[in-house]
Amino acid sequence: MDKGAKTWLHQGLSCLGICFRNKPLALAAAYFDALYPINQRYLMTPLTFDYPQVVSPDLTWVDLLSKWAAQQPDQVAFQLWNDGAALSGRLTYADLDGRSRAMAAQLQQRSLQGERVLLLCPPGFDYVVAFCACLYAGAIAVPMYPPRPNQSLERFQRIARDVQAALMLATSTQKLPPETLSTLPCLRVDRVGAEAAIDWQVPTIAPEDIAFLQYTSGSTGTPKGVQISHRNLMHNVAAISRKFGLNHHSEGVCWLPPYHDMGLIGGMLTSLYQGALTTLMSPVDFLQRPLRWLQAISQTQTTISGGPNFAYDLCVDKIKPEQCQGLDLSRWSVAFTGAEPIRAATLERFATTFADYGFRPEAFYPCYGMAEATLMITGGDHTSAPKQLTVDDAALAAHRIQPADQGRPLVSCGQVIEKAHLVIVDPQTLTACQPNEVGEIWVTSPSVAGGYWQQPELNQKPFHAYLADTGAGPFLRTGDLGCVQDGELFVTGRLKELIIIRGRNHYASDIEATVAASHAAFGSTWGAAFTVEQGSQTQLVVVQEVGRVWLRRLEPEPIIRTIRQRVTQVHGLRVETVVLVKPGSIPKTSSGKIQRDRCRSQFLAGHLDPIKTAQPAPVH
Amino acid sequence: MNASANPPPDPAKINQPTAVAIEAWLIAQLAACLNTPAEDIDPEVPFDSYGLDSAEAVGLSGELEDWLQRKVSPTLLYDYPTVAALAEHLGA
Repeated sequence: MDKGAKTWLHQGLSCLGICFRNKPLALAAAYFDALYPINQRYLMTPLTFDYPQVVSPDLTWVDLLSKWAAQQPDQVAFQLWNDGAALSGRLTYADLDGRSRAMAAQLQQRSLQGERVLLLCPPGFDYVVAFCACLYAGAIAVPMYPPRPNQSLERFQRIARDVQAALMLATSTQKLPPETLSTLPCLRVDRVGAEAAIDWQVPTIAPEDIAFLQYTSGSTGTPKGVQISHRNLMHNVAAISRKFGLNHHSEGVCWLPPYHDMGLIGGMLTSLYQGALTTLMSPVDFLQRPLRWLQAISQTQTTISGGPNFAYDLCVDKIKPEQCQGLDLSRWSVAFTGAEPIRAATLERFATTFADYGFRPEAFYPCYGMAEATLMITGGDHTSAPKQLTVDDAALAAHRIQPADQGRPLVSCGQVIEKAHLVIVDPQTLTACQPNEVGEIWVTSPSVAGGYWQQPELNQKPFHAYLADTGAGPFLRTGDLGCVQDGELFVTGRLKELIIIRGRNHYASDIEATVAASHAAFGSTWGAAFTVEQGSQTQLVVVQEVGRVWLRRLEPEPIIRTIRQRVTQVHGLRVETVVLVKPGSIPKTSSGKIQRDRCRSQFLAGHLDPIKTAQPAPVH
Repeated sequence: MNASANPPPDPAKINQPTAVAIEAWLIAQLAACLNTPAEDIDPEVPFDSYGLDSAEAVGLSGELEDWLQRKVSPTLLYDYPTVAALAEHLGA
């Protein structure tokens, strides 16, 4: 399993408040739309349930769920999976609607319309009910990693303060740190009786009202809440449905944590939008035994299920052939992969390993998106295998895409979703790139959010970008780099991780991977590569953690020599400064992504506490 | 000998390894996972000090299940954060 993959797990595990080396922080962004006329909400044609794709964009989430509950009350929305079998409990559309009304009535009693409510429930029925209840009450849901006793509350407190939360929703068995309970009232979702539903009143909600705040982490250190409106949500789930080819007979399996946009929207809300069934599995049950995921898909004969790249690697690494007897993956038709770089090698080894059990390579469904655009921005054709492109490394370093026999393999993330427009832009000149050039991905669509919660200044740059020459816009600047070939998006990296030395482009993650592979002392640790300006020169700095067991007998000089040698061999670059640090020193986001900017600031401020620093001799 | 004088052994614990055996197994697994010699693993040092991340910790609980042939909580390594504590807890 690669590093990026592991990091993502922190997010998964945070669902239980589990983090060994959790670091706070955050960022990401969103802009807004207004492409549809806001009118006729209740006057338009009723939902056509055989073809829910034509649901009016002016409907809210409340309209949608209420209609499903009326149309198909006994259809199961969610069931829970536990080690080889579905548990007896089911949540039908009528249950979900009824419980959401009852809970919402409690929120309405407290006059919480427009107020922020923190969702702390563990994954499961209560989580879904808590989320929908907020929307039924016109309150703004704030999905959170549930804090656990003995764990840092920094992120929790930061977000609770940022949103000026009015209430927390949790379950009755959930143990919360006493500090959280002393600051905010808490309602236990499973203690609300169904009879309360009678007091619920249909809220007045406009499609542009905020439905929830999706908190994201970024490189600067402050979590930011992306404001997702009902319109954003409806547009994106409709787009995902169409891309995946879903209908209300579709079935999904989801182990993804619901605090993350991929789990919440891709795993649960899209299924609700279709009036379909999803089988839920706890994220840690998957991590403990990845086979459970494939067994659930096999036994329920599910067609839709996915996760980040690491999940597929984990299956290959952990599942033994003798455990796979009877596994049938032949019905799995949308194996989506997103939320982290998609590696061609991962797709290939997974497809090869599980071909004998009916897995088809064309089931792979790479997609690209981010919280600032609700979730999905591009996705492939669900009936064919993802396109791949091998490009010349040297050309890529010069920002060009040149197909080659040998080089870097790129996996297509498909085409832009409906009603969206995507351009590749030169981040310096802010003009559109040529077709074979790599640039920053800019997007505009009804799914692009209205901005970060109460951050008008920060919103300007990412959410209100205009092309310098034509004035077209506003666009969301994704901060990701890529190119479009034959209408398909290929993502090459993050703009922020781009290292430009002597006019050549290098991806920090590539350099970090080279360093990590250069010595056994760097197994299961992290590294960060970035540049600093020294006089008129841009110099490369590598900060690398050394595994705990190596610290005692560490001989830094040969290790540093090895790092320099490998980076020069692979990338043709000189590493001016190498800093070796203890494990846990590299700052990371709550989702486990390393924060190069923050690491750089710590380096410049002399706050890194190195084991050993090797710098070039000062020039006299 | 009167058999009824001794309570029958708990069936769940028949053939279950002792704490000593579990400790040895955990050290071997941890060493393999971290790509380091077994003698570098100190049973009293918390797992996270070795740079074992949360996914690996949950994964190790799965390997434990396979080996012990019984159910183990995915978050067990958080409740018993050292080799010694975990082996003591699980030992027959």
